[in-house]
Amino acid sequence: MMFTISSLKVQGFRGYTDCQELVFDKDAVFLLGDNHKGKSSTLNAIEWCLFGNESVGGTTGLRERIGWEVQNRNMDTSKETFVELTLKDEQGSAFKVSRKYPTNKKGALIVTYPDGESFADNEAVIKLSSLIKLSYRDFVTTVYQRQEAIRSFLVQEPKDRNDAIDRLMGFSDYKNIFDNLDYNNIPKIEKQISDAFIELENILETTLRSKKNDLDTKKENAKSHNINENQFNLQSLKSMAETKILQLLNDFTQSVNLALEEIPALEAEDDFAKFKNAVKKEITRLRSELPDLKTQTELYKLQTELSNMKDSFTQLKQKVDDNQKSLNIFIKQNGDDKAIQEKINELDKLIKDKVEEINRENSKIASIKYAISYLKMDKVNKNICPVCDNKTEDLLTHLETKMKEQYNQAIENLTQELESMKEGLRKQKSLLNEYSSLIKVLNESKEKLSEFYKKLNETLEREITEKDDVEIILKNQIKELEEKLQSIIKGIDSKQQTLNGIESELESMEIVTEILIKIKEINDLTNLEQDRTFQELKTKRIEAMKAVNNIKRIGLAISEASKREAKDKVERTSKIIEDYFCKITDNPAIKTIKFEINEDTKKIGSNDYKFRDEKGKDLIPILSQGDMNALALAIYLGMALEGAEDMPFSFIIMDDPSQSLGSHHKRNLVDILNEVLNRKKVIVSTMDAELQDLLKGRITKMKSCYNFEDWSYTTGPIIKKEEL
Amino acid sequence: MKYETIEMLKNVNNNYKIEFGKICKKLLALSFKRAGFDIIEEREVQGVDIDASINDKIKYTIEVKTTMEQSINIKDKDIEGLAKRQKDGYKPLLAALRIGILDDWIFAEADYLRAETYSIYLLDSYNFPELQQLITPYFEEEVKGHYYSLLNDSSNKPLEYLKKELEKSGIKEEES
Repeated sequence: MMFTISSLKVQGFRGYTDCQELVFDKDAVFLLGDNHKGKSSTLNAIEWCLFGNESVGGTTGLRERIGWEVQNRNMDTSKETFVELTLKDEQGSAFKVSRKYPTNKKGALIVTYPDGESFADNEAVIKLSSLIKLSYRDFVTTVYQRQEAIRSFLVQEPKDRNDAIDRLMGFSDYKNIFDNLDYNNIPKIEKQISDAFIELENILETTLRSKKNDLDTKKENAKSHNINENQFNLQSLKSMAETKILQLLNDFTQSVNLALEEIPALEAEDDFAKFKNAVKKEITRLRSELPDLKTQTELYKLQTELSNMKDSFTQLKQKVDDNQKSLNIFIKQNGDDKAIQEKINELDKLIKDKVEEINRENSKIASIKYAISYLKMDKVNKNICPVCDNKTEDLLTHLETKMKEQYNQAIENLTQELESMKEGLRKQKSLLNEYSSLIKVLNESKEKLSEFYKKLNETLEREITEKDDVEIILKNQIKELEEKLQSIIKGIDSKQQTLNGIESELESMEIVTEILIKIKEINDLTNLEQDRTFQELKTKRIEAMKAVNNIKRIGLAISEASKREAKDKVERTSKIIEDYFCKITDNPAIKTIKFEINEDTKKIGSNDYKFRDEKGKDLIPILSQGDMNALALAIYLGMALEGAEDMPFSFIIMDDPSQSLGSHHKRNLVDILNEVLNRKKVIVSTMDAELQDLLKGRITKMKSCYNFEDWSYTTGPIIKKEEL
Repeated sequence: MKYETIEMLKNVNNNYKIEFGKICKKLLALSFKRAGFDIIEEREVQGVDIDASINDKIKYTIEVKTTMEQSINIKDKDIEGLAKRQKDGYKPLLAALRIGILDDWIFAEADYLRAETYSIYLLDSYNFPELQQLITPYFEEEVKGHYYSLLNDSSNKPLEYLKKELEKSGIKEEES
């Protein structure tokens, strides 16, 4: 079935606001007018009506379609946005396709058959695709020449021109698939995954090497401790713990009559630290609690005590002797206390007598003094004694002389004697005190000595008197203690040696444990492949690589399909493209143009197009902008007309085809369109006044023109139909 | 693969750089024998490297590749050789070994392989894990078993030494 376009009703779509209808009742229909008057919106409406969202967005391969607004933003929101397209088959039966916006609403797509039966939404999609049997990609390469396709062909950098030709040839989908697959990044991703594992492996190998070196060093160290290679196993370590540590500790504690504290069992290398600490603690405890050690301490104490006593005795004894000697010298010099007391008594008596004598003399002197006083009184006869009344010549003088010469001297002598006696008495009393002091000191030292004896008896637990030679006794005792101590120290040393031996076994065990741990670490690392996390990682790597591989295979399959299709298309169309190109350009310098397609080896999924002259040289560098425009049109026309009879549409649409064409190009194009019109209905949209005139003047088929005279926000395009 | 096996292989490679690939191939053939494959053919020059079968029911044809790098280069002749043997009823495999501690023999099902350079890990996605698990331990034993002899007793002729070992094991060796 082949359809032609009959009419188009548009409301609210792109540049349209109010509903307008265009009827395509002639073979040639021209949409004429300046830019921004709604011509492209009209052609886009046909595209959107047939293909909906496929014609919107980046997947179209057109940058302009990204963010493309379907609905007119100035339109009255109460109105619907829709496009209704009427297609007629060869028999003139009308099929209506109506698409509303938004497209996801129920009833957005309705297809109505000539008998009036309607299909909506999914059913309508199926019906529509079965009717038109054309993909969007084929539609825009064989039916609808979009202005953007020519524009991009003209403005692309040479290196990006392949993309533009892809769009003209309809291979953008393949490219999009590759882009969506991120195909050209796949080797990078694959390398990243591989590199990550290689890095892991390098780290692992470095670590293993370092640990192996550690292990070798530790093994060497073990050898120097007389530990054999066959001891580097857990069984051996456990056996060492049992026989070299626990058994020996048990024997030891029994031998010294102490209880062994519980030590945690050693079941694995990792238990060793705990085991070692417990054993060390126990050894420290045993060292401090050794019974001999207690005896040794006691004996040391006794030895010190006896030694001190010996010193004390010597001092005390010396003191007593010194004190006794001092006393003896004193007695020898001054007599003992009795002798001194006698002297004191004697002196007391002498002093008493002397005092009496002095008193007597003093009484006598007093009498004489009274007599002299009497005699010196008036009216007393100085020559008569007042006592006896005997007459004594010059008695007063006599008394005064006597007094002066005899009694005063006598008293003075007596007083001196008395003083001398008193001095003697004081001296004797002092000696007596001194004697008492000496006795006291002597007694005190003796008392101390006596106390010492008591203490000594208690210490030695035997009766020792002053008759015994304390120094010898103590000396012997100290010697005896020293011998005992030496024996005990020897015993303690021996026990400490035993404990040292056990401790040194711990060192051996530690060496073995470190080796076992190192071996375990190496085994863990070498058995990393068995590790669950690594297995999961490996599984993920395999899955990732499978995905990579699948993408590669999909890519290769698509690439193959793309290549086949491209080659097929080029083979089918190259001649017709060459014809159209030469006709449009009519350039005597370009007689032939060979169209080649190759796979872009740098970018899988992309094609590399070449247009060569008869000598095989690349033509592109010598083509003008007009020639380039002509080439784009030739490709489009070649695609549209090759096998045109088998296509579902009997019309082609050209939007702004003459963007860079020269006048002769345009004329040649119009002449070609006359040829095309023999096979297809032609719809051309152009703002090019020259082309408009050529279309109106040179197209020989019946034609109608829609003049897009103006456009406003409220009304949309102002279109006037002109029958020519 | 075990670290010690890899270390041994590295040492063998250091001593016999040229012969290393063939040494691995012969050791792999010996591993298949030990794993219970009854008929094994090992080819020195032409054709696929190893054919191994059990009771004529399980039949593998194996192209052997070793590398110290990250990738394996499969040539057209490898693919053609495998395809030829596939027609004779053999399952085509590509046995690839990268000498690294995180790597094992990969027995990639070769039906869909193309002549190109494959990263070893991409090849791993084609791996036949049951065969890998079966063969790897025997291969490690073979390496360990012949390591000393290869380095010390083979008079610098490791291939001749292994050829004798293959003969002793009853492995047929085709030289041309």
